[in-house]
Amino acid sequence: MWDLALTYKMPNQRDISVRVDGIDPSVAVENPSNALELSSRLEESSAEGHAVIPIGGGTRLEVGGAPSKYDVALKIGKLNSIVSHNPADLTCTVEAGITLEKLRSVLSEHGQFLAIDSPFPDQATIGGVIASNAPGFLKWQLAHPRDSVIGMEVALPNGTLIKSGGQVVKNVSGYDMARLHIGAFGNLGVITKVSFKLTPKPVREATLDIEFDEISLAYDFAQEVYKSYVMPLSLICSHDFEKSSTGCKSLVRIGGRERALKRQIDLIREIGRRNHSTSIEIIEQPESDRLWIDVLNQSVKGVDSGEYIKINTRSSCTPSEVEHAVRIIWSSLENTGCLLSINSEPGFGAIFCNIRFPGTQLRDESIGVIQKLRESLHEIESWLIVEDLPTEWKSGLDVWDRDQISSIKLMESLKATYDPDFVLSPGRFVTFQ
Amino acid sequence: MDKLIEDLKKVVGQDYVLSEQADLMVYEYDGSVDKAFPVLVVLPSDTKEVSEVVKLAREHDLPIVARGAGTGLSGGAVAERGGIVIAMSRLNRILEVDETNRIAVVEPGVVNLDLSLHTGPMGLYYAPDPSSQRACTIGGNIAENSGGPHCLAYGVTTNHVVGMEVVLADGSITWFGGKGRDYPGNDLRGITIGSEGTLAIATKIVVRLLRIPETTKTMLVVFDDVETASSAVTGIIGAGIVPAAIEMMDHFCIEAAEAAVNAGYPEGAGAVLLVELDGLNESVEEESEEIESICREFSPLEIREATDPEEREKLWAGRKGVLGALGRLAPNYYLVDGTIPRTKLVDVLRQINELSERSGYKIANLLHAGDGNLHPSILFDERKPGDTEKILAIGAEILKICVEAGGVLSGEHGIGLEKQEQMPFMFTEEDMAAMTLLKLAFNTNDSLNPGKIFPTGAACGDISQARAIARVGPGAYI
Repeated sequence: MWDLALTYKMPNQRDISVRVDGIDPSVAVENPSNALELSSRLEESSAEGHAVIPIGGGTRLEVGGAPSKYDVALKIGKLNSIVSHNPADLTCTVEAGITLEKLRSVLSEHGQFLAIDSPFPDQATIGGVIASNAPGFLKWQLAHPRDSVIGMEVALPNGTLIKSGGQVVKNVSGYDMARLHIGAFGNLGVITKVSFKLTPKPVREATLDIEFDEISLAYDFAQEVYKSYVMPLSLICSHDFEKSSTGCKSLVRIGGRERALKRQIDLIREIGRRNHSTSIEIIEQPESDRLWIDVLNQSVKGVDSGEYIKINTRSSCTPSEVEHAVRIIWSSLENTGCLLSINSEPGFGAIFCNIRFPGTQLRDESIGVIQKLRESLHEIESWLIVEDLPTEWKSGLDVWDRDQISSIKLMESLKATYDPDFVLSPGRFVTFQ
Repeated sequence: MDKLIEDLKKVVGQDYVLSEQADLMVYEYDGSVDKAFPVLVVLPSDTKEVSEVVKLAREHDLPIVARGAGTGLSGGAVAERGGIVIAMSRLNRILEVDETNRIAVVEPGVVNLDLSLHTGPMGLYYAPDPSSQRACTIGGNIAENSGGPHCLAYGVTTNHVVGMEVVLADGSITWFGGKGRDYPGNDLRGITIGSEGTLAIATKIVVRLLRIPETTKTMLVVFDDVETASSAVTGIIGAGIVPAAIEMMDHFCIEAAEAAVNAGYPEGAGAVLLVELDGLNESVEEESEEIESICREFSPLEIREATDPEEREKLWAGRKGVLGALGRLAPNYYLVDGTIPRTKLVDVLRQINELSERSGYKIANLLHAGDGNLHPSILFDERKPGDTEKILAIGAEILKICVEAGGVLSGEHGIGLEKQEQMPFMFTEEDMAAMTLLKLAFNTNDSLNPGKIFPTGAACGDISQARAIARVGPGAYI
């Protein structure tokens, strides 16, 4: 039985926050308050043969293929409590609907942080961030955000709640099932709880804003930083080709106790000078905190400008190929009338592009430009996901760059095994199932 | 069988298929006391050969167990259901070290420490350091998601492997992840690491390498008892310091270590903490000053420090020699491997002590205290009738205490054959059913390392006992 207090039928009241690629759920919006309710809603939807899309803060709903069927929106926002946090254990377990910002502020009171960041942290939920492999520049010891996850509870499409891992940092007890759901876009199950490994918050932080006249100097600088004893919390190279096709700035975030921080600043300055930086500015907290949120938001959302059509892409390659990839991207787009800005992570090997196509250009022409750019990137074993684009372009473009994904058959087999009736997010994930 | 042997020899060469009883004996066991004879042992030299062997095994409906160095402590490399053991000792090449990208591509038979020795001159090392690192292989580490004393700060195997070439159960070859750090799609790499060889066989492994720190400092702090030492650990972590390692030994271990290696611990020592810090000179200085001041609040009997490699080695001598030394206290010991939230350390150790007193068996406690990984070692004499059954029950009881305290069944040794019957302590039927579905998705036909991890469904008297008694000697590793 559905509880009407938790559900409202469509389409009498439209809730645009659950609209995915212009499609509203045809049957209901569910907003359960706990994992048990969520699992019963899922079980019911599944039994009815409905297609369900789990929805967190809605900050990344544009990512992925257009849903092939969408009956029920399953919101997780009310599952927003901290289940446990014992600061001395440096672990916490939270419900999936808590926002990253709320979790951060609680952890911060105890001098701790989660080494995961995401665009729009005040809206993005933990479940959504983990399920959508949200980009972030915070790279504690250059680890992947998935490395912070130590346990998970998930509702399977038939409503069964299963758990794996635990609240300890060292664990080999059964399969590490959480891995199936990280970056899986809710394709195999709905994340209801996540346990994390936490990190002490650096006593002090600073960000260095360093300008270079030449792109190659910025990347030489970055490589030299990673060869040194500095361990940046974040390091990006930022290009705005509209302003300059040769200039580049690097932002380096570092942290530590007093003397360690000072030493790192000295080392970075020296490396900057050696690589002919034209200016070095030190930005302290809290300005630096805001700066990183702004840069991340801009990386995934880009800049809106009236007469242009904006798309945002994400690529990865080995760290040493990042500069090469950036040059490939610029040379592919240089004479196409597009505007381009790029933020890259030369230590991690990630590239985020904001491309603005002239509004007068035909859709297929623009898609052709993206395809060509992709082919060039494939030559250096990179790939290009189009994360944000006009919905009407999705039918003409494989947003996932699926040909570059190895083991896709095995991913299809996982889907067929765990969600044989294709209840969850059909059409959205790399398998398009 | 003769036809199969001939076919396998065509794939891997005449000398690399073992079928004589005397040869098979070498592959009968691992670091636990579980034993089972494989039908054949095959030693392929590359991915293609592994793939062909897997295909032939499937044609003949024979299970496969991939084997590294056989140092595992949970029976993971034991061919419980016979079949073919694929020994990785010829797949032992370091294929590539990419200094700029700080990655290495290795074959699964590469010995863990050899990789760090190889990359050391480049200023790089491979962080996961199980205590068996002089012998264990990277492939075996992947199967067990191995840890090590230094995984407190740097994470375990899964945090350091970015990609793998694997052979699936049907003999097909594919990649999970690669040389980059981020790939779209399900994290097949992550689900395979720690799956104890039941989902796929890794044939090439891409690992992250870390910069060798500027300084490493070891501190040895001696306390009256484990309660005080545990409080000091909580104080250190609570102060926002995550050292590279924090190890602890209780009074039984101290007594044994003192007798064996003359570690020179002061009289009345009830607990020894070893704390290792690494990083920038400044951060090591700042943090060690703070750790010293935290430890002083708990009235330590002694604090020693060293940064010089030889001096540091001396501080580690007692800890490293303790397992061998336990033989001085009793003929046998059964080593348990559970992990708990570190704030539960005092309470869990109290319960273990009560259990020890109640049962009359001494239990020596050796702990990776920083990450809450316990290795209680139950001292016994297997020649005494009934002793074996009793210590098995005590071991299971300890794991139950760990799980009830919010912990897990295994921190770093894996479930294997040793703890499969205890899985229900931690997981519901549904949890385990969801896990076993993975074998279906990977289409393994349960041919890869069958009979491991999950409960067998029926208690199996003698065999189960033999599985669980880790009668490890001085050469054993944790």
